[in-house]
Amino acid sequence: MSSAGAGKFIRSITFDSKILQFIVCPLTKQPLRYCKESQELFSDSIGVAYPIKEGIPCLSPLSGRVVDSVDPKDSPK
Amino acid sequence: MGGLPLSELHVGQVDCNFLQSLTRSHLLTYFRSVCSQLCLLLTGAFVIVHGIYLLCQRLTSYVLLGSSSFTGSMRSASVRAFGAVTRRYIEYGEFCSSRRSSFLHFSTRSSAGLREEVGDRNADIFDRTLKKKQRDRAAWLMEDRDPLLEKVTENLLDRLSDCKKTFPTALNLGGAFHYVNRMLRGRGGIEKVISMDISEDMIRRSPLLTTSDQDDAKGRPVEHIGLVGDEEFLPLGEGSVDVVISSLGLHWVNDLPGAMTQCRVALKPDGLFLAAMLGGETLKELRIACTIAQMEREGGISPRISPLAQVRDAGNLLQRAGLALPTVDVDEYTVRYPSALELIEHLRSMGEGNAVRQRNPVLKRATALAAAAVYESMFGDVDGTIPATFQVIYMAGWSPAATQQMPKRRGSATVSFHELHKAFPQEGGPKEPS
Repeated sequence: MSSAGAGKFIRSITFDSKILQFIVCPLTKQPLRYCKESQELFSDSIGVAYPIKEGIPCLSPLSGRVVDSVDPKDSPK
Repeated sequence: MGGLPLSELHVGQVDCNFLQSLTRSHLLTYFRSVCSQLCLLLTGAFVIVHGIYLLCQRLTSYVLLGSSSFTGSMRSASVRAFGAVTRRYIEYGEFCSSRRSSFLHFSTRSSAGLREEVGDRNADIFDRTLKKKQRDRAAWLMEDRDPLLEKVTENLLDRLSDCKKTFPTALNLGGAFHYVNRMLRGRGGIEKVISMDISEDMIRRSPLLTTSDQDDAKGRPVEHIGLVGDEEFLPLGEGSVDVVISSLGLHWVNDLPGAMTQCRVALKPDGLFLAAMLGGETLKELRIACTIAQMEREGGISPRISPLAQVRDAGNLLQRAGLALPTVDVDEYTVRYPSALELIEHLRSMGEGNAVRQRNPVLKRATALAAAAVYESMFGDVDGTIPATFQVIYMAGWSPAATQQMPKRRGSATVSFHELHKAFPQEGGPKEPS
């Protein structure tokens, strides 16, 4: 059984803002706000930020970070 | 203690005074000290031996099953994280209901943000974090041209060419989505594909594409967008895609009705939902072999094969999700392997490891070997290979639209049955209503 090989992995893709017309917050289904500096997508209604890791948005609830709360950042992913 | 000095004793003469002077309390103290020392010794020995035994068990299971046995501590952290985000969502839900806004209905699990409550909130059969890790590993192990996945995807995409309608935007949900991307070849007029999977490594893995594979029907390159997300919490907005394709991606979803409902919401009106799922007959030989081996060796059984949807439930699922014109097909593929170990390797390379929450995380070497032996003796062929069944259920449904054919409204009939009966002659006509 041949292995896939490490060389076949894409390391970095540029994030395309055109995707924003399709995606919403997975929990509330509300539109997301894109922040270029921190490379995150903010769901303002519940105050959760989803990261964009090397151009790929991670929109699973497990990878969300709760903002403006007493507890600091949580998710390990 | 009293008694004669030693020099006064003759050989063979017991010092009776010594024996007499040993009172009961002395005996008891002596006995007690011996016992306590023995107990301490035994406890210490037991603790050490048991510790070594547990360590060996862990190591063995790690070797046999991969990292699945070490997920305990990691899971608690991510469950906490999940809790923090959903706590926020709970507050938001309460805030919304207090403002009497009717467009949101709170749900802890799936059917999130939907008006009607359609999901199974309490279904928690599969460990999604573990499934993510297994798919991360499969991203490295998966073959580029797996014959089973190719066949299943080819059959699924064939159904696209049966439709006259074109679908410019497609959502590709998990499973064998690389194969869908590669084998699309412009079918269905798809110009833009959003690939979604729960594992980041899978999205990063570059598919084997040649330039001609990438072109759509008009010869322009197909646009690919990658996205990490959970099928149970679909991050796509209402009416955003034309077709949802899922090739072997939905059988690890906890809340399948909820996931399919979210797919229907994400579809534009008159959009197509195509899915291929593994059915209940899949790996029945492996199921039987594992059960027999476990009963023999361990005296009890734990789920080694995940519960899979039955064919009769597939139609209900489609209707419950609100999809119109549902169609269900079943196909069985038999794959031959030299031995049971190759079968397990193949399953792992596809990311199909066991992620049932109730599974036993420990697999004893003796049980594994016994299962392989039972498999070969019960199902082996004359040439030494063993067969494995994969039953695939192909589901298709359309999101409701006014242009589709629908039954007429009740009470809109213009002719009564009595008149129909009079119009038809007795032979070959409908039976007389009683």
